[in-house]
Amino acid sequence: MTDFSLYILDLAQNCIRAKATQIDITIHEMINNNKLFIEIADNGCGIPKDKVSSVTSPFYTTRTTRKVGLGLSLFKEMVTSANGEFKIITNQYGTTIRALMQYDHVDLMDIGNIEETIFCLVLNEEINICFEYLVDDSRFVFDTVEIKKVLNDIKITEPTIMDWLKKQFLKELNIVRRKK
Amino acid sequence: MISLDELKKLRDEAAKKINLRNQKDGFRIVVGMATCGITAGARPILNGLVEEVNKRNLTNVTVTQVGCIGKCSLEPIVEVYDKAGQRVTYCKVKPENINTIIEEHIINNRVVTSLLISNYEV
Repeated sequence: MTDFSLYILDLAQNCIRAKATQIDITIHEMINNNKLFIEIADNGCGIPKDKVSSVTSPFYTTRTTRKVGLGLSLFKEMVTSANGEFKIITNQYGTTIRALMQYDHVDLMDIGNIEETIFCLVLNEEINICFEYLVDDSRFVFDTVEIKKVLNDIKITEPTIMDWLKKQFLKELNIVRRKK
Repeated sequence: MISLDELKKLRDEAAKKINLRNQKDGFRIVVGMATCGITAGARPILNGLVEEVNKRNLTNVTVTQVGCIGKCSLEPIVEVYDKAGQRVTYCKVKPENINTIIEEHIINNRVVTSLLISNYEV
């Protein structure tokens, strides 16, 4: 995988498989502190206690379609290569994956096309996504809960709505990024 | 922040049009989006399909994503289900195939044989 946004999409698939209805994604570029923080939290079924230590092994998977799991092990590998720490917090109410990396590390990947990742996830109409993006202390939040409240009976995937949301998302993202 | 007032206006406009639509009896397009799919380039395929469907204003198609389909080496995989639930599986789909799948399969109702899974395995 070539950038962070792909890893995030991959980890979010775990949330979906854990039957989450809410996925919170936070990216915080702490340029002043030279850190990059990423968190993905869901309200899914959690990882059983006896499995937590094995989920980052490439040879562990819950799926039946193939014998190896790769998502978390690849993510952990990438985080540690950028002088980072990686943590899994999980119980029956959900799972949080947290990573803190060195911002100027040469092996740190680009955030990449995060808008594509978020809008892939938005296609899962039954799941709510709250995406928070911060560069130092400027902040942008994209929360499908409040969007869906306004949309009421109209689907978020309705073409005109999707198009507009994508444009707004990019606009807001760029405002925050310009602060760099 | 995203203007919820503006969103409300768009919503009301969309609500007027949606009454004219027939949402049932359509196609369902599904893209495999597990680690294998993502690594092989499934994300731009999914977004490309959504954009193409929207651009052509096809109201009888929903595009969505699933996890691992089980044929990791053949990703990106796109499955098309027709109204009867019949499934056609396309493998190693590239961005330049998006148009063909929409035009041939969805609009002209012709299977794109060159992308079929049967080209790769029995």
